[in-house]
Amino acid sequence: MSINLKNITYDMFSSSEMKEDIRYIETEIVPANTEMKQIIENTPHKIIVKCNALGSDLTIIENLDENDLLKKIDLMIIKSYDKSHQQIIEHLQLNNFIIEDTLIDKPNKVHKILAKKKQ
Amino acid sequence: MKRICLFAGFDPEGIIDDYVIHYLKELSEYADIHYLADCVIKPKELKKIEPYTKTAAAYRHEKYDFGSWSELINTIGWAEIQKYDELILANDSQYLVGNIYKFITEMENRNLDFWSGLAVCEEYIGGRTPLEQFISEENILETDFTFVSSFMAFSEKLLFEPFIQNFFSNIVRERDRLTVSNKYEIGLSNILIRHKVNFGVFLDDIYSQSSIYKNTALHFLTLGYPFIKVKIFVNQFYPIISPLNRFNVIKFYNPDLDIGPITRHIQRIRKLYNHESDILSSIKKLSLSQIIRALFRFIYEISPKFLSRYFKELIDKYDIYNFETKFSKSKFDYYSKFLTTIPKQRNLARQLEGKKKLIIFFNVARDIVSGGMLSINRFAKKTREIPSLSDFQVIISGVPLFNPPIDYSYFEPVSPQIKFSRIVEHCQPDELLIHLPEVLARTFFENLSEREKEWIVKIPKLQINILNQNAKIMPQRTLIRNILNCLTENITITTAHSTSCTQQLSNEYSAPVHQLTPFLPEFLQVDFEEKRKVILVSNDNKLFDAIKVTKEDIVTKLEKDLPEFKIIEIENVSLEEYKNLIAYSLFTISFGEGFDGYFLEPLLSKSLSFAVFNPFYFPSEFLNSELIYESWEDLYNNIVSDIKMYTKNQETYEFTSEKNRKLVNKYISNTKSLKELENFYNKEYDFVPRPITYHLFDEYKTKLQNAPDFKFFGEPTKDELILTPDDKVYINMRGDFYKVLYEVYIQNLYDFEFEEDFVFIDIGFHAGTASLNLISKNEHLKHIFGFEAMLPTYQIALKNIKDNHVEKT
Repeated sequence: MSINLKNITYDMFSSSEMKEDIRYIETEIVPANTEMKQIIENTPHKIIVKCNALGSDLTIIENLDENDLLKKIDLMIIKSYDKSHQQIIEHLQLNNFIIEDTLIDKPNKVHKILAKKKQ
Repeated sequence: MKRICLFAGFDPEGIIDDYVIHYLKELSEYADIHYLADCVIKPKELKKIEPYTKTAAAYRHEKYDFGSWSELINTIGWAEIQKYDELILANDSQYLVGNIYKFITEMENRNLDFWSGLAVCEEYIGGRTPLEQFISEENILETDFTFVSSFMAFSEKLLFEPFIQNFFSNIVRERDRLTVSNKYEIGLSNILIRHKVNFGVFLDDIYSQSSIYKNTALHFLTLGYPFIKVKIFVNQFYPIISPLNRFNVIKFYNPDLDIGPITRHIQRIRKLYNHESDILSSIKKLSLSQIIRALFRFIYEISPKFLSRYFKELIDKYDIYNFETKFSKSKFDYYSKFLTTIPKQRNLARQLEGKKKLIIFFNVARDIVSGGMLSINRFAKKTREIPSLSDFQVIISGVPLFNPPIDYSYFEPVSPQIKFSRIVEHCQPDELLIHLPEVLARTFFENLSEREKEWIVKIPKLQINILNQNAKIMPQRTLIRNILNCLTENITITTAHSTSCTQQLSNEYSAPVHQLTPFLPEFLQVDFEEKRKVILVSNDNKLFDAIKVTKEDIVTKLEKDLPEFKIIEIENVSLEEYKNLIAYSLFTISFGEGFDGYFLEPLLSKSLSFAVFNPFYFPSEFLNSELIYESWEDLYNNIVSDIKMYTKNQETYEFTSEKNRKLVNKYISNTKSLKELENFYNKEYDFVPRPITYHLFDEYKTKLQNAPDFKFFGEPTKDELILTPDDKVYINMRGDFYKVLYEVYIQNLYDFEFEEDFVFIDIGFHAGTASLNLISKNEHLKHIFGFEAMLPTYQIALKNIKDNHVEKT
């Protein structure tokens, strides 16, 4: 799975490079569940996830949902971008999360989604 | 102080000139001199310098000055040289016109381990910059930084250092003067810097490489520098004040100097230069050239102020033409093309009469070859094959516009170049798309005549596409938006490297940006059995991110450990020769960006190639390739054993080549390129400009500064350190880093309340700011698992974890 950088705004680019010399770094990520499953299933503690994945947030949430991992998370803080944020909220609501949705950057339509598992 | 001087000489007529005798006489007051010339000199001539030298010899070894020094070291022996306090290496490429006593004693008082007269770097672009500052700001190992080798001194301590002894024992015959300069002059400078030698120069500022051949050289005399290059008096290229004035300057700073030896030498070698020239016509041209130049300059000097700028332009233009002849077989060939190509050009241009839709690809109008030029040629060819463009005339023209049309020697052009002025003369289209190579975009505009500008702006549908084939030479936004903008608003950019194809580039230039991956030619498929024991190396010399290893180190190792292999550097070969080379050679090594033709194309010829992973160019999938090394040190340590292994095992060789070929085809294929090209013509661009707010990032800094307990150390453009309220320290990553800190510390974006023990999974770990901040905030936090996809960011995150003393597992 690769990150789709084509549809994200400048504001979403990682600040790993100087803004006057930003470069396009092609990268690949593995499906979220392959790494997360092991962590989630092997800890006696609660799980809190922060997700700021440059526009791939929805893909990650979908993957966690498909693999029954979303329901095992206790709290999520997601910085979501543009169009995907409503779909993210829907996934979270279906998995029994209470949502607090805040528009934190109006021009770039960036939202903070705080999702807490219902007790 | 007891000094030994090894003095390298050369004279095409085997004469030891009076200026050399004067130099040696002066120098012999301070050092025991051993003289060796890289030419044949009769004993009678050598006798002239007998009073001033310990030994004097001359024979042709063809290794230039570094060779003479190396030969002398072999003859004298390090043991003898080590008895001295200082070793001076000098040559006769310069006249001694100043006070050598002051020069030597001033440097002696500075107690350096190595010193030379001055340090130069062509990449230094001007302004007076102290050497120390220049070195601290630049990664000089990646530049052409060099200590000028015509006078260098090494302390006794250095004479015992194996790296110095090894350097001089490895000097061999090279194919040309430029290679000698790159390998030995720049090479020695690099070695001295890498070994952190305590060095200094007489002139403390950094200067450009060419400064020693220009008026600056006369300025050096004012600073006490005692030498002036012989070439200044015979070179035709660099602009310099008239010979008479040059002597006036020299005499002004050293009134007692007898300039007789210098003038006699100049007269002799100028005469010699003319005699040696093999084309009689070039002598005439040279003389004519001098006359015209002198005439222009004279008129310029005497002309009233309001007219002088026109004469200045004339002089500049004349210099430009002289410069351009360098890319032709001869001056005659260059100038004659203006006339001889007229009939053919007329015919070609006539075919455009009445045509209303044009696509013009501008290629470099110089008889050279580069990857970019080949790409443009193939883009033109493929554009012609696109059915939806069948009503367009796809033609090739050349920039700089003033050059005559070029018949390329190194590759087959898709069609002959038509001079732009001819196109303008013969048609007036309604629709025009101009493809312009980035490097010559400015030149294109500057060379347009008023008529040509008028012709262009008259075209109702006009588009200019800048072919960004190398991000490093992409012109600034001002050129696109303030200059080319005068012709049309409709400007697009296409990029050869996907790493350059970004939203940011589109925003920066306010222009659509589209990826156009170069088309690949058909490569020869040669089986293992037919391949030869040859290792090709690319002609790149600056290794990305190399710390301890140089290209020379690697090549030397290959030569030493793989004597059965022939090492060939790829240079000045035609495309067909290149395709043959990579197909018939067992191995190729790319010393450039890695994800380039030298790595990719041998694989497509069933060969094997090696490179070092560069995160800015390589797709991350290549990290797993057996042919990609993690670092230059890794390559240095393993390349020999890997080559031996693949050479012995045909099956592994073929399997690895095929496996990597498939990987390459995932990213580069002509099908992909064609799709990109079609999308471009359909105006389906990858990125279109979006509104951005650059200034916001600086505003965030102000917001942080206004918040309590943020401290900033250093300059934002350099390595600024930021101390946060929770006592964490970060290096400013620039870009939107202030905004990230603002989100974490002021906006508290990732704050939450949680009263049970938890693990924190941080997807998009970035620099680690959110996670590191959480550590000091929540006692229930047990573990953090961070995920960061961008390799450079990940590396910075690791550094932040380490710098903030957080335990990493």
